[in-house]
Amino acid sequence: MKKKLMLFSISFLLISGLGFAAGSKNVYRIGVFHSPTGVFHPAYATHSYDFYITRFVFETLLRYGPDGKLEPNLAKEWSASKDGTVFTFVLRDGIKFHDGTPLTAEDVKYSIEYVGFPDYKGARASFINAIKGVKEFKAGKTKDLKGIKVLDKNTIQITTEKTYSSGFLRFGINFEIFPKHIWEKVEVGKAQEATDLMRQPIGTGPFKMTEYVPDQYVTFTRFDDYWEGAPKLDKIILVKTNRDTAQAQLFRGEIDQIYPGSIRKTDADQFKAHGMVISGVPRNAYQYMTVNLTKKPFQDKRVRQAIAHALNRKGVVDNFLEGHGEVSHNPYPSTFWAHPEGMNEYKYSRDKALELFKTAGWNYDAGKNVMYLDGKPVRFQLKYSKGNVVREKCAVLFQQNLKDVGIKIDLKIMEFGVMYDEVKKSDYEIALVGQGSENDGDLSKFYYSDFIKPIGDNSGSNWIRYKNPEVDRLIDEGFRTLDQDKRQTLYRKIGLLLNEELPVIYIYHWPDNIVFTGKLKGRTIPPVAAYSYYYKANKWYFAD
Amino acid sequence: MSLMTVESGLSPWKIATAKLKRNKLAMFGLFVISILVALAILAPVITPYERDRIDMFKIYESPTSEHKLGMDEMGRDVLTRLIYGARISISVGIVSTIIAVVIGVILGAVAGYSGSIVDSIIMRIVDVFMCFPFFLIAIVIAGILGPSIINLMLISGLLNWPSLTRIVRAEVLSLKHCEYIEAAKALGLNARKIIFKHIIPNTLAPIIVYATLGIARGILIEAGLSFLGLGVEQPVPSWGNMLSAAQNFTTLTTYWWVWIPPGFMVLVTVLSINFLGDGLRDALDPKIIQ
Amino acid sequence: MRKYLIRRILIIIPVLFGVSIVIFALIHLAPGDPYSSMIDPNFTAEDRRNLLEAIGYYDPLPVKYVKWLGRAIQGDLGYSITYKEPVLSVILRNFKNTVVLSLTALALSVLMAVPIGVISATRKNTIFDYVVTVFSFIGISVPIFFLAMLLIKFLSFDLGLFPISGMQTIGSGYSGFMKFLDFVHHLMLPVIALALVQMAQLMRYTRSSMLEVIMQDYIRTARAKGLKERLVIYKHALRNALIPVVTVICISIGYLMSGAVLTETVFVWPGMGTLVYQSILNRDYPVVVSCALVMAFFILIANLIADILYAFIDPRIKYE
Repeated sequence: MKKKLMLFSISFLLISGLGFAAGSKNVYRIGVFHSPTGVFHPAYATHSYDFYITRFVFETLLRYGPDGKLEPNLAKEWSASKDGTVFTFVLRDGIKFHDGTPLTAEDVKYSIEYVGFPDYKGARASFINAIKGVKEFKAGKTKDLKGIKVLDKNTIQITTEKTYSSGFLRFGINFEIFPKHIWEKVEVGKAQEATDLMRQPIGTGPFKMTEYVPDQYVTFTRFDDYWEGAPKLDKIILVKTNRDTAQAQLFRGEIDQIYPGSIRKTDADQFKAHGMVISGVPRNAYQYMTVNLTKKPFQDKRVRQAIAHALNRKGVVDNFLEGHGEVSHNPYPSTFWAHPEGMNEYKYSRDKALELFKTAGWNYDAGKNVMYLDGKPVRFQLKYSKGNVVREKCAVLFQQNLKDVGIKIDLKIMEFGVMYDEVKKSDYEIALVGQGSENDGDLSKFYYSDFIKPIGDNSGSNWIRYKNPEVDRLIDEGFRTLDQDKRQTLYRKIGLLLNEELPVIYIYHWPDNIVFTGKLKGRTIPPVAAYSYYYKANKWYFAD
Repeated sequence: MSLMTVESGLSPWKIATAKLKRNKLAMFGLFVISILVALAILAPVITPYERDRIDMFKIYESPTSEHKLGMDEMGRDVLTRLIYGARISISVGIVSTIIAVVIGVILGAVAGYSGSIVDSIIMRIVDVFMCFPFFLIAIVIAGILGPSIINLMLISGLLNWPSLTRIVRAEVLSLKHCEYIEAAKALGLNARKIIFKHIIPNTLAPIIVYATLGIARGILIEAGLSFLGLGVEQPVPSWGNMLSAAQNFTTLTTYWWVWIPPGFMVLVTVLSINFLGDGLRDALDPKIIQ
Repeated sequence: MRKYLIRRILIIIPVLFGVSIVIFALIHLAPGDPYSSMIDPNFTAEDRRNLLEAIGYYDPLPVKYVKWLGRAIQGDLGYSITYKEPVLSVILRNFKNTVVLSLTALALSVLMAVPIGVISATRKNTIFDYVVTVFSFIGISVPIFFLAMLLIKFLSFDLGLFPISGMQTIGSGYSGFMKFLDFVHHLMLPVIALALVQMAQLMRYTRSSMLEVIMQDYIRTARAKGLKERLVIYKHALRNALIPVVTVICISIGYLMSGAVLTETVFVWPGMGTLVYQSILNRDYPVVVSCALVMAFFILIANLIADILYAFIDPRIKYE
């Protein structure tokens, strides 16, 4: 009995020890909080956890470089005609897919037009709507998309109906290139049932996916024929873990990287003490409070401005984000090229708030601490969703802040999908939401009045139902301008305008935080969140 | 229980009470519960601070003489919220048990007494309910109705009545054929009167025990569901949602005052109720002779 | 007896039927759909309609149910919307993991709880008994996720004895025996958490069942006859006391198979619990309904076996 115990304890300790040792082989392990679902096809992947794979195994024509600007990736040159309707990309030589087949412009054409096949049942059908011939192609009248032309084995040309200022962004970044010779053999309508093919993605990236164990991990092994040179690491593994234990696993060396979401100072201190690198990747996004613009009380700009003054937005950044983020006064963060100067900061001031409410005709009874509108005490319901700890705290804080100006707030926490649905239908009074913007500065989807649908219809992308002719005019100009300097001036103007009008009350910008082991070297992270996590992964190596 | 021959001349209830008083653990449990209920009721009077008042400068502050249990992740006094939390946790336990008892007793008595078809139908429904995996249904219903205290009470109550139905039905079945009831039937009393006036009072013993333990179950369910984010919503504090705030690992390892007190309170409360319920079961059980 | 058995077995079918209808209706009543959380502004309403039409979302509820039922009877449980994989393979995969976890925890808890419960009963009111009683009370009173997090904090994080979560050490390249040992290492903490709570209940039940038997007349008779104490306890009392315990174990299996959501979530153990939770959040209807059926089925079978055992043993119980 004693002997058995000894044997058992020894193997026990051995394994614990091995657990540590295993980490230092040439394998890099990334912890993620949601497991990829196995849809590893760029045209069909919808969950961001599947993007971890599709944006790594597959590559796009262009990518973001360390200065935040577009740089060559699969394409070595790119240009557009002066009127912004013809986009040409020239591919590099010698790019191979993971199965050894060379990449050609045929694959690029196929990858882009794929979402237009009549039987395509995925989420990206609208990505190609700007291309010439798309209506005929989707209706099945043409066999392929005429607006995309293969000029030679390395050159591809895309023609759009009208000036398309988002051309480089759309065609260069939004389409990952996958192999025609594999997917043309599968009937488009049945592609999602080809589970085996889906889960053995063949791309051009520096690592190929070699193992997928659902709900546990995904293994990527180096691709020696990668066009930029064979990677130095042997393997990269995506490990499913959960938020509570991931930090501990990081410290014990069981994993090498996590995306921790918001970081507190004590967390940051602990990370640094364990030799971790904290990288805050700027994200062109913002968290905001939306007040229903179709309801009378909120249609007065002064009311919205008053609310902005009443909320302790700086407190959120200082205390909930502990400095990992900044207060937001318009859609663009300070790290973005379209960020305007001279904005109104709507500093936290109860007095200023009360003043503005007064000018808007609201009556504050200081004795009872109640705000009255049209003789009735003001009371609103604030909807917000689960899953974002900082936002949940904001809801509670804002309830308190508004209580201080006599406004009663009822909190309603909901599942994200459900809340989002109601909010888009305009079935809400106040809500807390986060929003990302396009990297080319375009804000049309959210603020352009053309995209407004009637109340009760959840399909319009401008669901706050904001209508401002001046903003519309500026956005229209933006559609027609490819000149980057002109665009900067334009979008800065829009930013300033939105800062004054406050269609939504901007709360904060936040970086995407990546925390990883200091032992990893050779890594650069371009300042564009979501697209730069694997930048030049072939150059990464361990310092040992 | 009421039908056993009583030798000493004392009523069965008096005998049970005496037995209970001798059970030290049960008395301890009763004592603790009384204190907790008192605390819950007196919360607004005895708590040192406002329940929801946020002090952004004191987030995660460790215990001091001013804030005996420190501050939570939003800068609110933990001790205050802990005491208010008792209200939620205890009331969820009680209300959900009341719901379960009302449904369970009525259905169980009807099933046991009526026999044949009615019994079969009711028992089939019980079967269906009993094989519902609890958390699956709880999560689905929370998804439909949204998280809230009322939904929590409903879910808890609606999913716990089947076992009580079975217990009551078994008791009723065994009582159905004894002389007492036969006499009532012979006297021409209608079924409803018999069930409500004669049978149910005699099945009180297991109901009391079940109800007591059910409250404990309800508190644990509240903790679990709020932990998953399906229960009590902010800013209302409950022991369950205070525990879930500790899902951040740093909080787990460093800010112990935020989560250990509520966890401990759940343990102590449920433990006390279990002591009491167990004591009640022993006291009301005719088979154990002290 | 036989008639009772056949009736019980036959009843399983309508009960499963009932379960499927209720769950089907409930999950489809939940607001939202599998794609409501997609916030990519490039994902237009037209795209969404296409996707939803492809999964038959716009059919009226009875039509959806009938369609599903038709295929389910033939063994086709449908396709998971989230994983784009047959539901059956998704469930089998997770079910395997739950089985390993539950059965190991059950075995451990039985091995420990039953002997302790018996001894506790025979040594009633001693310190041993007292300690066991308090321990078991604590075990049934503590929220299991709280216990799990305490274990992780102290045993995994502070003392480094166990891995923190998951089923294996990723990227270690283990194979064969080493892989098995690594798996066992990861299995231990969740098993301990589950077993501790189970044990508590089982110990109490064993103890009280044993006590009940010991008080019986026939035991007193055996003692009066002069039989050795040991023989009395282990030969007569124990056998009879264990039967109710066995039935409780059977019922536990049924419930264990439905996956312990809380434990699996804290330990990141990919079992039925996590599958159900995620599928409901993702509105993966086919998976939710099938999971419910699998769980219900096991609970029913386990209860049936428990009832049969109980009936065999206790001749006083008559099943009409």
